[in-house]
Amino acid sequence: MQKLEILKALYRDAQILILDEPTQVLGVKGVGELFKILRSLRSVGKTIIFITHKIPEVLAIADRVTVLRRGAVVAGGSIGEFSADTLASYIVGEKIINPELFKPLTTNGSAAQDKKTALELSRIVTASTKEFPMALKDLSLRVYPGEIVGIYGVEGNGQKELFNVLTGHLPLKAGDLILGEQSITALPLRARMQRGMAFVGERQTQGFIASLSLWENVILSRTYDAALVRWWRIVLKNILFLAERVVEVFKVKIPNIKEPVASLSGGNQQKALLGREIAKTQASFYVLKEPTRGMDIKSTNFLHDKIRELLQRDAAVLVISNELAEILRLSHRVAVIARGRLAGILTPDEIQLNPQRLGALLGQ
Amino acid sequence: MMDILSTLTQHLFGSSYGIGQVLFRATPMILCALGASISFRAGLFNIGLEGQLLVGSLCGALAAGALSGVSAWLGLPLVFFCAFLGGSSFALIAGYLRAKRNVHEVVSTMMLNFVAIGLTNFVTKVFAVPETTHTSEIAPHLWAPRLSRALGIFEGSAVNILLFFALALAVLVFYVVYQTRFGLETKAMGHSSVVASYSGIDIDKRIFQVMALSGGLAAWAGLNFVLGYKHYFEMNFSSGVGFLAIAISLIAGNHPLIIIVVSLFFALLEEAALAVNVHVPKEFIQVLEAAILMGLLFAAAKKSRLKTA
Repeated sequence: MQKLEILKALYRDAQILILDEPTQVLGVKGVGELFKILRSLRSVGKTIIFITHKIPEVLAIADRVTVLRRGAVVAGGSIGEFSADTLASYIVGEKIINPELFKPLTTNGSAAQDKKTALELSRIVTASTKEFPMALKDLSLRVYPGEIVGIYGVEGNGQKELFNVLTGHLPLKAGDLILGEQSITALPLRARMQRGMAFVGERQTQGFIASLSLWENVILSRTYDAALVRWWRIVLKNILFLAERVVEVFKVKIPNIKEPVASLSGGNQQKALLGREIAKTQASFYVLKEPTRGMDIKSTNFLHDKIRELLQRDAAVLVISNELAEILRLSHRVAVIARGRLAGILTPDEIQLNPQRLGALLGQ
Repeated sequence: MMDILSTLTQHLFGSSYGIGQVLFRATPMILCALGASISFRAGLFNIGLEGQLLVGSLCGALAAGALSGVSAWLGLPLVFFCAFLGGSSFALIAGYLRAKRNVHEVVSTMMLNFVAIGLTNFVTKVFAVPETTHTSEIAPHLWAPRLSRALGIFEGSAVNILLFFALALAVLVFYVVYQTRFGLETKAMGHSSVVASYSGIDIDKRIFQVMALSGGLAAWAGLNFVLGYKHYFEMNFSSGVGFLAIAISLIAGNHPLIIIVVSLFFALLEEAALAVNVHVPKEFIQVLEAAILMGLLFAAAKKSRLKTA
């Protein structure tokens, strides 16, 4: 497919080829072939701009490299000046050395490890599919009650896949998921929720149905709750009460909870979404994916405080985020993933003092 | 012109017979449109109601034939059960294809309509009374009593107690849709099946449930003819109720109680067509019916477009 596209461009006598993540759908062999073609094009004098987030590919194919972060050029030069580590730390950003952004946690994470595990991922293996391209390879991780574990990696290295393994949307090829002492690998999402798991996914596609009212959305992910649904009948009074509480506690600006969610601003929707899940007082294990994406500093701080409050009831939290600042502020431990593997576990202190170590893990 | 109008009003409202016939025609429309509304709410465009109606009511008719020795108290529920089972099983073919093979239900149900016609014609031929296109008459104690016999009203009309059954079901569906977990989750699925699935709703299972309910209700619509009118199954008897039900449900905004009103309106049109048959070809009423339908849908589409803007 890529070959055909390149051929089409060459036929039109193109001098400059711009490729955006061309290896996304290729296997190892395909990448090798593509690189061979690109090198031969280079030798006949074509210019190639190769956009990728995969560091090894940059090192393999590029003559010069430019690192972009948040829409700005942060580094650039001949490829000889860079190693995998330095590239990775540029991608991550020097920001992490700025202590202003780093507020240490008050709770003690190490004490938590004496307890039983809240959730154990045991040697998780998944297949690579069209929807979930990055296969998880032998990924193991333990999360303890009263602990926040951050999952960090360059985008597309298995974050989405991990989230969907936890929700049950991506089946395991091998391995086991153990919640408390019970395997939940075979359980559907509803049963996992009933056993105390709570999820915050992408708001528009996994969280809220914008055309439905706030109260309908609040009940949607907990229709198994006997206080809200008695036998089969929905108990509107209790649901409205709960929705009002979420609005109040999470400071959601909404004139009326019977309004569709679409009438709220993105930030208010996000607050309501987290509020809905955090209001599940029975939940003991939280999976939060990009919990504060696109929110202003004030709201972000507010939600971070709310997430930390979960620790008071000894819940365990897994935060999957591309915001390193968020990961560092929230986590007791940071699990770094690269190419679907667990590359290593660092503490926020270690990352802060020595960003090179994070860079090395990211580039693996 | 005045002639026609007076014939019309005389026929429709001048006698209790006319009103009875309107109610008789409305009964299957209500049942079938309720079936349609359940699937539409879930975002499943089941347009195979006609086929499900035929298959289901044939099952009901055959069951009624076999149960002639059984009392009405046991026999009628069994007939209803068999009809429901037939209609829902047939709808589940499309449900399975949608859930497990990702075949769009519009395509599969449309095709299955043809299968249903062929299949029911074939089976009817096997069981048919010689020289006819219908099965043998079912035992009188399994007939749905006409209101003229049960209550002494609407003399001569075929309207029967299934009318009350349909009205009761409309209320039941109303309750299920607005007051229960099933209704809420199904609505959510209709708005966004992806968000619904990340909220813990088993979409595949729900597709099966919704298609089964939809097909089963369509099958019961056929019983109005089988148990309440001719007392046998006749080839292609339904004359498009399964398709009309789609329009009725859409016009009613899939609201179970509004479906009753819209069904009565279309039943009135159909009966009127028969009444003025001598003066106006009944095809004219069909054109009128279609024009009204188009107009209503046009108005609805315009309104919803304004809403989203």
